[in-house]
Amino acid sequence: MDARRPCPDSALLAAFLDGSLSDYERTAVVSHLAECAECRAVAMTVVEFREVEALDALWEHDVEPRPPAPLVESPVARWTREKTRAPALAVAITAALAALAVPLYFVLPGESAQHAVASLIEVAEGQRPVEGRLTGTDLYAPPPSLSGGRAIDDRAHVELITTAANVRLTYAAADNAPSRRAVGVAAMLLGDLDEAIATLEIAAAAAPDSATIANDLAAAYYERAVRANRPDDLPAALSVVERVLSDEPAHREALFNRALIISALGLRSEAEAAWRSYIDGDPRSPWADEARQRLQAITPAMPTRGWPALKQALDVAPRTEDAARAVTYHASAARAYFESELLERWIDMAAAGDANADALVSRMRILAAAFETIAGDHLYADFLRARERAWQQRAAATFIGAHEAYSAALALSNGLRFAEAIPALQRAHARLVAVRSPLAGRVQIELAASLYYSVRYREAAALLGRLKPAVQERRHSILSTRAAWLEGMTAFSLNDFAHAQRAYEDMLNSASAAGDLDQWVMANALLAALHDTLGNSQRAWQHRTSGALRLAEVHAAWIRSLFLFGAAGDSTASGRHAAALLFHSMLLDGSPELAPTTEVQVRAQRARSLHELHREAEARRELGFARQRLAGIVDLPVSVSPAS
Amino acid sequence: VTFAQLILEQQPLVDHVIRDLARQHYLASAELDEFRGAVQRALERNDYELLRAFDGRCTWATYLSTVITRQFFQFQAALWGQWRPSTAALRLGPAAILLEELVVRDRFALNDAVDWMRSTHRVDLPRHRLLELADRLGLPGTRGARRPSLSVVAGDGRIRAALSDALARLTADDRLILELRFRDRQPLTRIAALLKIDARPLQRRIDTVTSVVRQSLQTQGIDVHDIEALFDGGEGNPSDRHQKWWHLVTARPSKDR
Repeated sequence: MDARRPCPDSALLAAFLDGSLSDYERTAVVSHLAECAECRAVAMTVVEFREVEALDALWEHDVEPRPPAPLVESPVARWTREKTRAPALAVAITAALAALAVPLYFVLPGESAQHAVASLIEVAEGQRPVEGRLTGTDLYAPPPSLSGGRAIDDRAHVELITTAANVRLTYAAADNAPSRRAVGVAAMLLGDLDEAIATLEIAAAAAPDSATIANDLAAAYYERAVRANRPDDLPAALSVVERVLSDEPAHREALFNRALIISALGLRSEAEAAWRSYIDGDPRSPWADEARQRLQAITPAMPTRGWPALKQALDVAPRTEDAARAVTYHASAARAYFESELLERWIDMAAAGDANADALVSRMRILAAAFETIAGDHLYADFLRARERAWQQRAAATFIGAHEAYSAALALSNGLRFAEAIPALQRAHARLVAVRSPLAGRVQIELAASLYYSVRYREAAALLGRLKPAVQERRHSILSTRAAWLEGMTAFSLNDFAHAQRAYEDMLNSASAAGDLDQWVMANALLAALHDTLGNSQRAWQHRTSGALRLAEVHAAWIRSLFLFGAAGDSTASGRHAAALLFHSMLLDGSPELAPTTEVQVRAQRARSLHELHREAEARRELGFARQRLAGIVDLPVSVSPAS
Repeated sequence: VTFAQLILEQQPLVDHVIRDLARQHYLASAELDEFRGAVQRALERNDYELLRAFDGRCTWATYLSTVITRQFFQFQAALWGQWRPSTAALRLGPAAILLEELVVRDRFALNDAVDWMRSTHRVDLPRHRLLELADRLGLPGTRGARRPSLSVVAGDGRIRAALSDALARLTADDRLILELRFRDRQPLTRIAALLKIDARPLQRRIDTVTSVVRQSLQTQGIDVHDIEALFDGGEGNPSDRHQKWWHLVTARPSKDR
């Protein structure tokens, strides 16, 4: 059987060729290309087309400079080209106007700043240089990114740029909120997003109650987030737009922008709700058609609910296809199933001399083989080989005894009884080494975790330093990922941030290669937290948005909670309280298994955000809940161990 | 904009891609027309299913190029059967494609194939150039396929397994780079364009990765002479030498085999 994953569809391969995939998707496509000669041939052929096109363009340019044939280029490509061309053209036009020194107040159609913006919007009719919706744009124009977008008339585009340059020049020196807004909007249409945001922020500070300015500022933040790969602007955009909506819940432009922002944050189900909410308020306009199109474009998350049925199939009569599906689409859940259910059950049955233990082994073998061939993880298959060796050497009793010790030591560690767990794990390790079981590595991970939680960081680091190359050598991917995880946390605790970053990136790559989504999302959360600590908000939110896209597919509820908790914490700390509230709601509504301590922290954080947004009654209610939950906690447990 | 209008709008691009594919793969005029029809039908099939699958994460130009190229490989398989020229033959030109076709697909002996090409197909390349092409393609009956050290080690399952292990430890990007360089013989600039990386340090990266593979073989206890035979026993340029061990390790089931 060819265990290779199916070929990526053309849309995914083309997105790879255009460099617009997330790290996770890119690694999956690259791994596939390394295996599949056919997809490689397709990819390289397209790359070669581009070379030929570039050479043709060069040749044509040398012979006779002329614009490219309009129909050859796609609307999307044209938008991209025009977006990059706009600032240069604008600068040229602005310079020309300045040189002419025309009294521009008289050139403009309107006399006031409001009229200037209105004239900009009027000139922009039929064009939409930005994805977001500016205040006052009732006439629809297709956005740059969606398929089927109407081609732009070059003449209209030049007119828009000329008018925007005029507005910018005219009101540059005026010091009031409407003028600042006019300059900000003009800068945004010209593609100068940094200036647009700086100017609109000043305008918003001068007129804090203006929904018009706040909505335009949100659109500018959004535009910079997507165009300049600055996802750290998204919480700011969301906060501003939520402020508009708290005053004017039916503000159409703000509702539209809110849905765009939430989509860009990668929060699929929340984005669906946001688009539906827009459509409810505006069911018939062309904007609603676009909203529907965007709603349809939200890729449904791979349902985690498929796992229970698959697990049942694996429980009853496992087939190779079921095991392959489990490892391909539910790797994390399948690991937990193998380690916590099958393995534990086998240890109990074997220790009790139950004759059905052998039948269980044949079921374990199917799943272990799938892990070995599909995820490239040899841990479970090696365990079964070690078992067979022990049986052949008539050392079954010793083998079972060593694994009973393993099980007992793990129970202590999972029960957070680290002082007792450490010596028990050391004893279990010695016995597992004696029977040559690969689970000795698993025990060492648990030992390192116990040392870490006992604040014995240096011992944990030394242990992991020895363990990591060994498990990599044996291709025990899951142990390698977990070792990288703990290594990163230990280095972080020792303030060795560069080491922590390397380790987390190792974890990200290793989880990605093994198709372990839970660990991959966790690695993104850890890297985001690390970059927050290092003050690199842009990198932090790049990891958050890419992790958020797959959040709905995460099996372990506590990883989802940890991810959202980090996003909420950073939003609160940076004063993006409305964004923080969204993450809090997702945490409280969507995580039934939220640990009591985490819930208390979330509610306290939420109370602070509500207070900052002057929603005092709600803030008091949240604090009341937090106190109530806190009173119910008798003993504060340590947070979840990465090895468990 | 309806999908029919979209196809109309993108027709010049579609024609451009079809023309380029035909040029690259030396399609005859009748085959070109047939392929053009096949693309049109594929784009319209199931209520424009292929166009509906576009998700906006790439440009239409890239998407349509990818879709049409995939269609082309299917068309080619239907036309000629599953056999198709190797990337190396495509890169070496029509004479190499024809030679590979005769030797690999039609089972001609190398000398017969060369004679056949010169007489029936009127290929006016000198005989020694054709044999050189065969050598570069690693066709049966050439020096490349007869090197004794290589055939000895190629037969050794232990070395093959050790090589597979060594490659499995590389990152996906590095594995892909090696495949593209040594199996498909792609130029460095094109590999860099695919992976969106700088082409300048690429050769150094390839050298580093191959030395990692070599070290890994040593640590797995492979005899130094065998390793030398794999890496250094060949003649010609370094890429040819590396290609030898690459072909050994990549002799695994895959779609194009």
